[in-house]
Amino acid sequence: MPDRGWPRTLSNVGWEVSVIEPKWNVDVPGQQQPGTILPDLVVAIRRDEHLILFEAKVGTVQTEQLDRYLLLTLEKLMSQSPEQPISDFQIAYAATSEHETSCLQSLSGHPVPLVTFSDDVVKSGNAAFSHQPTQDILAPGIQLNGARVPQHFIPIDTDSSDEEVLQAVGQALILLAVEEQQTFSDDDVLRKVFGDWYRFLSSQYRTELRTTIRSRGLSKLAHANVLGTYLFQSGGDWGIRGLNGGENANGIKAFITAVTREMQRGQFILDV
Amino acid sequence: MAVERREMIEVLNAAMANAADDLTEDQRLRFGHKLLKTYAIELDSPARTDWLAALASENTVVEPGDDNNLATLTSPQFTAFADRIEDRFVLVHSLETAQSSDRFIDGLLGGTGLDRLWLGNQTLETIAGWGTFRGFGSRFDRKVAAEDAEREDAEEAEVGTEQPPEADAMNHPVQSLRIRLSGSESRQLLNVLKEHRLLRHSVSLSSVRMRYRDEGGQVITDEVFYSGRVTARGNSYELHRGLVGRIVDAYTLRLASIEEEAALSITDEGGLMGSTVVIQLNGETDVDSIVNTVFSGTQPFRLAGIPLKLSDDYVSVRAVDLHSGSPLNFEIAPELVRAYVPAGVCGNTLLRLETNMQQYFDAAVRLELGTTGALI
Repeated sequence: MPDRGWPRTLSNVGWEVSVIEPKWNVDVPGQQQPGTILPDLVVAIRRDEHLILFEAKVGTVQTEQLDRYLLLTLEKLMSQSPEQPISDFQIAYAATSEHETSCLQSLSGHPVPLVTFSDDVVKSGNAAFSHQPTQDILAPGIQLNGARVPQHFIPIDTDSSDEEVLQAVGQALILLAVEEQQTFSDDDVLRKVFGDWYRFLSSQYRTELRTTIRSRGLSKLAHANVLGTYLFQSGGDWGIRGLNGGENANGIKAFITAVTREMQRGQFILDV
Repeated sequence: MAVERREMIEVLNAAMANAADDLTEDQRLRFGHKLLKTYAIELDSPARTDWLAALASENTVVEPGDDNNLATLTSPQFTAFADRIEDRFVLVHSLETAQSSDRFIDGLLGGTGLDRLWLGNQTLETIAGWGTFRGFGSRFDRKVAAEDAEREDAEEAEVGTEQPPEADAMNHPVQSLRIRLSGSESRQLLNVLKEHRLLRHSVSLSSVRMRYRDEGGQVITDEVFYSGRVTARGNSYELHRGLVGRIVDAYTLRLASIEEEAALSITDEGGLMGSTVVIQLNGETDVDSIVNTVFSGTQPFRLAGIPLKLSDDYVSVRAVDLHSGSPLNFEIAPELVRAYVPAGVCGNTLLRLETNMQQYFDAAVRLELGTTGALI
């Protein structure tokens, strides 16, 4: 039986990730300073030269933010997007089904589709997607049939919970320990967390993620009960005690044991 | 003096002939005569660049042989031949006792870079089909805690020496099962066991014994173990070596299926390639048991993982394979284990997971491609 948690429906009509959280400008009438938009995800359908800029929402759509998105023009987008050529684009919002009603109220009267996610279906029901194959799929919806939603295709983001950040950073620390990296930077950890995805992160978003990893991950783990005895900060970098001196096997073993035991028991949550 | 391949073949052929004569005449081995045991070992990518160095350790001296794919391994009271094949694999031929050989191999595999061949139920059945079925061993145990004293040393060498907690074994119709059966009707008896309502999820093969012959009429009776050990009976080392080579070839195909079809990567254009790998469970498997057992960083799973509970029965795990030092992520639910294997990660990790899931959770599980459901 295929893994129903991973329908490839949108991939099959050509959806590909263009960029994650780019910081782009829009011209605001009557103002010299441009406005800023930060779409969470930009999807490219390259064979149709079409972009969809997604803003993911937890709660309501902020009118001011929506107004800025609506100011984006094709010319302005083409001057900033890495995608070329672009014939058309569309702004869309995404939300879980519990936020559907509030988001729809804010989007009423605007040509901005809302994609909602529930345990059973992914669908849009208000404004139409101008990319017809996408509309043909999302209007009836993609049935998930209660499948377990995959969690690991895309790593953490700045809105991830503290537990998700700590889990990702913990894994990165094990990888760095196995590689016997005695010292490492926030960016080294970010690269481990994101792997192949790293190159799709805008520079602005990398900066934000480094802050997330440092403040909500590494700094907390450095004060954890057992892990805190291994992880230390040195200048702008981090280090793991016990990995030096050529007898690394024991140091690595002890550190990994500390990470897995402490994090499996959830003690790090209690002690930070 | 460097060992020559011709010399190794003569020694191993003679040892097989002596053992075959003993077993024919006396039904037991004479003092000093031992069965040939061949262990198939997989080298990860870094280990392939200097395979001799990968085999060396504080206790093991590696002496190169007369060709680039041959060496002798010597440690206190133990000597073996190392015979590299297909760039990625090494066959370790031992004439020491099974206990001593197993202990040596366990020590050899204690670090990173080297792993066994993990021959799950379906692979062992396929191998048995190449010859005439002559017997099997079956081992299933809801506890991961190893019972063999010889295993404990290897676990000491592994990260996290604490034994994983016992699974909730009493909820399962069979808590523990050990069978060793040989004879001409053993194939039928295995089928009976596998089809029994209460046993079908517990009859996990630990070995198959088979008569194997070549076109020239030479015959061997080899026993192939789930851990990649092949014990030879008969008088043709060449035929035994040919069988082991065939096992390695079949294994390579499974590795390729994981590493080429399942490996997840992102194209330069941002497209996601590959597939998840799924193990379908029966819907009643205790998620905590899997998480605590599989991801504790201990033998035999060798995965150190950090779990995060998404709901009462759905857990995300970010893990590192301690064999290869590679990241892998998982989701665990009562009805499935879903694995994400990044491109470049050794497929052996999932074959190890499958084989041990069969021995400790459900003998019927298999790896499938998440996108199509095709068996790997």
